[in-house]
Amino acid sequence: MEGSYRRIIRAVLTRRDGAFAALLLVSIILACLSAPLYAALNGIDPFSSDIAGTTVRNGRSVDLMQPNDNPLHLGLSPIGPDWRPGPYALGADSQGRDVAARVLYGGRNSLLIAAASATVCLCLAACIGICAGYFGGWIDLILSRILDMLWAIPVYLFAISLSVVTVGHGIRLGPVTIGADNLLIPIGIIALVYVPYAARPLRARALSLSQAGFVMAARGMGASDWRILWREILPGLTPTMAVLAPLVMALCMLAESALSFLSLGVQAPAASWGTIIQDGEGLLYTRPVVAIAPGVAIVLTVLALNVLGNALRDQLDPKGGA
Amino acid sequence: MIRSLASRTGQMLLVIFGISVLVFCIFFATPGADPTARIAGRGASPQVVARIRAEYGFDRPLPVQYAKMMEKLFISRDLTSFVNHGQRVVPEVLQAAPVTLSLVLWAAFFWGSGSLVFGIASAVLRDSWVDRLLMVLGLIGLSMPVFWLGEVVNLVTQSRWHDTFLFRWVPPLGYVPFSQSPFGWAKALFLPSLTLAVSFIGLYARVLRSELLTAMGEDSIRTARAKGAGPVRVWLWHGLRLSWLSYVSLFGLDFAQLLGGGALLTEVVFAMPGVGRLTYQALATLDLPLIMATVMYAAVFVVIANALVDGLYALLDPRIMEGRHGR
Repeated sequence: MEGSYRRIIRAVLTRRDGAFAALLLVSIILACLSAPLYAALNGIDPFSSDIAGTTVRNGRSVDLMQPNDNPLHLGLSPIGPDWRPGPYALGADSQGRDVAARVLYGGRNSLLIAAASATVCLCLAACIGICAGYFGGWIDLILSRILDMLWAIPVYLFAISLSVVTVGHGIRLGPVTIGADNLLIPIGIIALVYVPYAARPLRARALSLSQAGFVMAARGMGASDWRILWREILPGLTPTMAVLAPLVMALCMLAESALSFLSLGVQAPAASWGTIIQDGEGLLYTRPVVAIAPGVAIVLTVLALNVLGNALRDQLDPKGGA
Repeated sequence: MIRSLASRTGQMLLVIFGISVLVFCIFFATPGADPTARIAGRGASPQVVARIRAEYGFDRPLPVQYAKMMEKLFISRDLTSFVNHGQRVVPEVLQAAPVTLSLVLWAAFFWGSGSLVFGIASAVLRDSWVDRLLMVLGLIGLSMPVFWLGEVVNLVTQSRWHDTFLFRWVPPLGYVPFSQSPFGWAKALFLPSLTLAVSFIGLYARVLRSELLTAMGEDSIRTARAKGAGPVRVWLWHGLRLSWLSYVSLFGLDFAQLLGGGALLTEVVFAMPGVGRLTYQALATLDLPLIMATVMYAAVFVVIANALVDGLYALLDPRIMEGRHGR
C-alpha cells in the first residue's frame, strides 16, 4: 500500500503540470508562513492602524497618507506601491497598514481555514458516504434525502445563513462556548456546506466496494461490519478522497474569501485574502493594488489546487471525469 | 408513467418540507439566542418585542412557530421586516426578481454559447496547443473569485480605460429596466453577466470536451463515419447528441442555483438591485425575516427546477424511466 502511494505521488510530480502546481503551492505556503519574518525585518505591525506614520522611499522619509493628486489636494490617499523589497512594497491600505504584510498574514488564515474545512468536510463526507453506501436500505435512503435537501440550498446562501446567525453572536452549546471571532466558526460552516459535494462520489465508491469480491470474501470469513469498514472499505476510499482533497480545498478557499468579503468570515483585526479585497474596495480606483494583490494570491492558490486535483485524478483513474 | 410521476412529486414535496424545517431551525431555533430580539433588531422597545413575540407565536412550542412562519411566507405573504420600517418582505423580493432573472439569463446565454464553442474546439483539436490553451484558460476562469473579477472589470472599464474607445460605451454601475430602454438594459447587463459567466464557461467547456471525447469512441459514431458523414456532421450532430444529456442537466441545476441566489456576489459588486443584493443589504441590518425568505424561496425554487430537469430528462431518455440504464 505504502509503495503504491509513493509511486502515485512520484507520477504526479513528474508530470509538468503536477510539478508546477506543487511548486507554486509550496512557495505560497512558505511565503505565508514567513509573514512574521517580513514584518520583523521591516519593523511594521500589520494589525494596528498607523495613519500618521511615515516610511522611507528613495532615502527620504515620506508620510503614509499622501494628499490626493486633484488640483485642490483635497483628501488623503495611502501611499502607493514601489515594487521594491522593503517596507510598504505594495503600499498601504486606508488604515496605513502595510498591504504586503497583510496579504502574507491573511494568507495564513485563508490557507488554514481552507485546509481545515476541507479536512473536516472530507471526514464528515466519508462517514456519511460509507454508512449510506455500505449499509444501504433505509439508512441510505434517509442520508441521501438529507444530502439532496442540503444540496438544493445554493451553497453561498447556505453558508451566509449559517454565518449570519453565528458570526457576531458566537455559539453556546451547553458548557462549550465558541467566541464570535473564533476561526472554528467559518471552518465549521464551510466544511458543512460542501459535505453533499464530497459525499456523493464517496457514497458511490463505497457502494461499489461493498459489492466487490474481497468484501464478500471477508464477510464469508465472518468478519464484523466494523472490521470490513475499517480494513476493506476505508482503504478502498482513500484514492477517491485523495482526488477530492485538493478540489474541495479549492472550493473551500473560494467560499472563505466570499464569506470574508461579505464580512461574515474572518473578523477584524485578523485578516484573510477575502477581507483584504473588501478593504480595498473603497480604494479600488485610487490604489487598486490593495484589492488586486490578495485576489491574485487566491487565483494562484486555487489554480494550483485544481491542477493538482486533476493531475491526481488522471493518475489514479485515467479514464473517468472531466 | 403516472405512478412514477406521482412518486417523484411526493419525493419533491418531502424534500421541500425538509428544507423549510431546516431553514426555519437555522434562523429561529439556534441554541442560545432569542429569535424575537433578532427580528426586532438592535435597541427595540419592549412593546415592539412583545408584539413580535405574540405575532410569531414565539411564546408557543416550536411546531406552532414553524406553522405560523410558513403561513406568513407562502399563504398570507405578509411577513414584515421590523428593521426596515415594516416593509413587507415578499413583495420586496418579487420586485427584485426581474433584475436577477435578466442577469442570469444573459449569463446563461454567454456560458452556453461560450462553452459550446470552446468545448467543441478543444475536443476537435485534441492535444494541440489550442486545446491546451483553452483548457488552461478554463481552469483559470474556474479559479477566480467572481467578486474579485468583478472589481477588476470595474477598475478597467469604469476608471482606467473608461475614456478609451474600448469602454466608452460602458454605463455607470446599476440596472436599467427593459421597459425603460431595451438597449440600455442590454448595455447595463453585458459586463456583469459576462463576469458571472466566466467560471461557468471554464467548467462547461471542460465537461463538454470530455463528454465529446468519450462519445467519439462509441459505435454509432464509427457507423456514421463509415456511412460517409463529414466531420462537421459527426461532431455537431452525432457527437453532441450523445453528450448533451449530462451537459443539459448540469446546466439546469446551475441555472436554478444562480436564480436562487448564487448571483449574490456579482449583484453586490455591480450594484444590481436584484434578490442577491437585497439579501446582502439585509445582512448589514441583520434583517432576519428577509434573509430567511430569500433562502427559503431559493431552495424551493431549486427543488422544483431539479424536479423539472429530472422529468425532462426522463421524457427525452426513456431508459431512465424504466430504470434499465442507471446513469
